[in-house]
Amino acid sequence: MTMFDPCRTFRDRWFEREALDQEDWLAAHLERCPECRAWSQRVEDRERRLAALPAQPAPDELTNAVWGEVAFPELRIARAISSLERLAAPIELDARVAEELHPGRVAAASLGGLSPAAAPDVLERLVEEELADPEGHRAARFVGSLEPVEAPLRLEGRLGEPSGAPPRRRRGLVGATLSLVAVALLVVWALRGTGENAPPQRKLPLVVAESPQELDPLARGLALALGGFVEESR
Amino acid sequence: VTRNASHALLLACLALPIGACSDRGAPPPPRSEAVHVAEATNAALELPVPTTDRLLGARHRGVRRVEIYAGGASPALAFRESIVVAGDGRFGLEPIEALTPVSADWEYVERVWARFSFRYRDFAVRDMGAFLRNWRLVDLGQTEVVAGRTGARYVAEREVGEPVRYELVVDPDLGLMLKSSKYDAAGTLLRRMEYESLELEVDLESAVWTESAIDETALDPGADLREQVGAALRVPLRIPQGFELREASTARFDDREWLRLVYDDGVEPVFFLSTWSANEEESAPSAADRLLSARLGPVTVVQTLRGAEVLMGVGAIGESDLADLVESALP
Repeated sequence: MTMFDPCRTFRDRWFEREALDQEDWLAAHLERCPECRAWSQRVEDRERRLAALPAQPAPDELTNAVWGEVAFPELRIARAISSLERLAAPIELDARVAEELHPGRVAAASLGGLSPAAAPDVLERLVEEELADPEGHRAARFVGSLEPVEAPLRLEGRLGEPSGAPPRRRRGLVGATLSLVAVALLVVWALRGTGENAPPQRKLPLVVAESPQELDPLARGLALALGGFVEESR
Repeated sequence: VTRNASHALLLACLALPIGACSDRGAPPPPRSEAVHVAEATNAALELPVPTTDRLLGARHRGVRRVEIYAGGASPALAFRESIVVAGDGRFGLEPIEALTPVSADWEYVERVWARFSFRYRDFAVRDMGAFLRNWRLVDLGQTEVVAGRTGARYVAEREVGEPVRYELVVDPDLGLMLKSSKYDAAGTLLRRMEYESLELEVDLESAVWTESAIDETALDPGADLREQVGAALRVPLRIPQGFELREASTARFDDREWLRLVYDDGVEPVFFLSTWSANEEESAPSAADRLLSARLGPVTVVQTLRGAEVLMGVGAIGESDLADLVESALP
């Protein structure tokens, strides 16, 4: 286990000092630690000497390659994505997805090694009926796939004549009316008391703070502690 | 994060449970928790979930890795912390090292809020009755070895209000949570805690206990709070569904008297804090009053100011529920 080492932390952060914005902490440590002070002077001296070296031009091929990478970032992204290793989903996730798509099958598969379960009664009955009269069942099954034959003209003519049966349109109209009344009653029942159950109207306007700094320090501290001191909004 | 040292220290303590702040010895479990546990069925009592009692009662020392996520695949903050629990109510929680870039005052802030983190940051069943009503616990029937201990794997899902899911690895002998991962409604990982090492033979001589620096006055959450304090306190009337008042206390901070109420649904805490004065007169809201809301990570804050008076709600619940809570405390 590595313990908190201020010198190691200081040296790690020293190289990123411009990006980290931690001058106060770094300066404080520098002031009380002679080893890190000497170390930082050596590093700065080395940086100065490196910066003073004459710049060497890069080969044209390298310049072109870098320019291509910078100018077409989408190619770089596509290459990076295609090189990623495909991660397998956790077993639990696979099982839950499979259970959502095919309820019962996961459990059935996992029980495959156990003794076979009995078929439902209805399946047993249907199989027995088919076995008792195989020709009849085969004929019944294939009737639906036969090509329909048109009715004779004389039969079509008779269908156009008035008959003694009550007109179906009137029965449909009555049914539709009853349905409408039922739906209306359902809506009235559903809306009944909506006003009583609805939350009372807010007395004060709810305004989103432009910055967490607008909050009381106690509220901000409490929220950060509860969230684990990570301020980024999701 | 506030950089003011004394300010942060007081803020942290004010946000703490009364038992953790004012008592140096073993704090008794909240009265209502005992009632609910007594009411629960025998089967429920045998649930191996980590309760607050077990949190304080399992004597051990260890190192934990904590990761806080902010929507990305890698943690926004990761660190190691040492924990020592005496088994009699005393505990010590200290940061060891940050594993991600942190601000200069990170270590200090973690130390200041250590009591709060111990009680509220990680999964714990704070009330068995509320847990049974609001949460579903699924035994995955699997085990996982964490820090050398074989733990049972569970999933705890909140069934009331905004969905929250925890994946837990619990030591069945200690009732101690060895590992937990918290996910929001969209399945996004919010937080992970895992023991990296764990010792049960603990030498307490060298232990450093996390102490309190503020005095609070405990109130009985089951009795009339206004009568106990003798002042016109602002007490919420509309509580988020599934939540119950668990802790109540008053404390003096920043030259003001504060009322601190903690609600929970068995697991997740929601805080309500308001200033109060014994001489304050009731006043109707003015046109300048408003509810100010903000979201910091997974946590919502709603506050309102009425002159010098401050009321606030803080918790990982929806903005509307929290606004209802705060507004319902107003006259």
